[in-house]
Amino acid sequence: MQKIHKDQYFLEGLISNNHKVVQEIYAKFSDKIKRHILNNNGSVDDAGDVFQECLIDLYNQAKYKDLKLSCPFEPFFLLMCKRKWLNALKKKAIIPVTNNEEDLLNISEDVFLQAEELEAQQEQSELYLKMFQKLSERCQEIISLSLTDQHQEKIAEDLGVTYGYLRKKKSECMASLILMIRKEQG
Amino acid sequence: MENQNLENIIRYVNGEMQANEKEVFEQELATNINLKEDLLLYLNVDKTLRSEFSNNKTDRAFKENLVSLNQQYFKAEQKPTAKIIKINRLWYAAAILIVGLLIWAPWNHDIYDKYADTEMVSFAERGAVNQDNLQAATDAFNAKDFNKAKGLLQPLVKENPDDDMLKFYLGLTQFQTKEYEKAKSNFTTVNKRASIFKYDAAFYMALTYLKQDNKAEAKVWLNKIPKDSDEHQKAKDILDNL
Repeated sequence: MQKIHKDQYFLEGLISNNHKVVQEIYAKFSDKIKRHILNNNGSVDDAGDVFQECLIDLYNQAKYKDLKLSCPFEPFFLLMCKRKWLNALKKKAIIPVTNNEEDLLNISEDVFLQAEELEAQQEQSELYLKMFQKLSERCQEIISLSLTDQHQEKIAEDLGVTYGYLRKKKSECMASLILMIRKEQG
Repeated sequence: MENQNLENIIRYVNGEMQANEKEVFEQELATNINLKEDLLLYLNVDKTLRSEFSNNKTDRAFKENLVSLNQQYFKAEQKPTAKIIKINRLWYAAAILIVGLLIWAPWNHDIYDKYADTEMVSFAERGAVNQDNLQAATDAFNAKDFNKAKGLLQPLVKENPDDDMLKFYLGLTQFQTKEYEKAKSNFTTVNKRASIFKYDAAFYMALTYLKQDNKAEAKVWLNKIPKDSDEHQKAKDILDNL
């Protein structure tokens, strides 16, 4: 098991929505990301979007998938944002991003590894969600509702079915989803 | 993945198996690598969907927090269009007078009063602290009922003497209810620790001294606030005004 870096408090702060910590992240890093994106075919709004999306990714990974930071936060987070922007540019078919060889030289191996791992996780999640969209509408409704905090009995009532039926149907829907993902992964 | 396996996995995860059935399943899990992989896949998919759909109160509060910080930190800078205007000397003199008044701003002598106002942001899910009382204190604080907030915070501070957030906000309620010496004692404690409220405490220490008309001490505390902290700009504004 890898050692947890002392910067893990950033992730803890995100999970608990600790205003001070979240604000610290903005205060320390927003200008750097803004500058990078403005220099690379982006606007201030793009920078804001990338920054916010990366924080939500981190929050989800830390809260729901138990991500632990094994490297320093700053280079890791900046690398995450830069990669996200690079991917956005690729999608828009704009040729990217002025090299930051200089910055890249300063990034250590553990930061790269963790960023890559996170990116792989994100790609996996995207695949799962894409497959989810291919389920029938009823299945999508049943799964997404059963994952909210509401009582399952209440959800069954809202859907106009019995609790037993809801459970059975949810299992069936999850089963189809998993089979689709398996097939896609080959 | 066989359907039968999948059905078992779902029943296992949902805790719907009988004890003996569960035992058999777990034995198979220990030897059957495919089954184990399928179980991990199922769990991973479940977590992903949960992060996407659970959309509970804390997730929503987090995202709302980001939206407001984004507005604050990623505002497009509006560039004023530069105009060159020809003015005659009299206007020039008048303009200088107006600029001078704006800088001197005699009507703005209570600049620090505007900073005395602050919101209490209580942190969700802080382990040991009684959540209901914390929420009640936060509500009272934000409704500016500082006496009530103080009464609610005092026992919480007693139970959690190492919690800097509680101590800091207790200090603020004392500041607001003119118990300046008690406020200063709490701010000093928080400032001495490696707390995220360290420089907030220094800042309000300075405001407390200003309330007591002790500008010299106020300056000492304002100067303790380093450039890279959130409070630096506010501290600088006040220092410039003193």
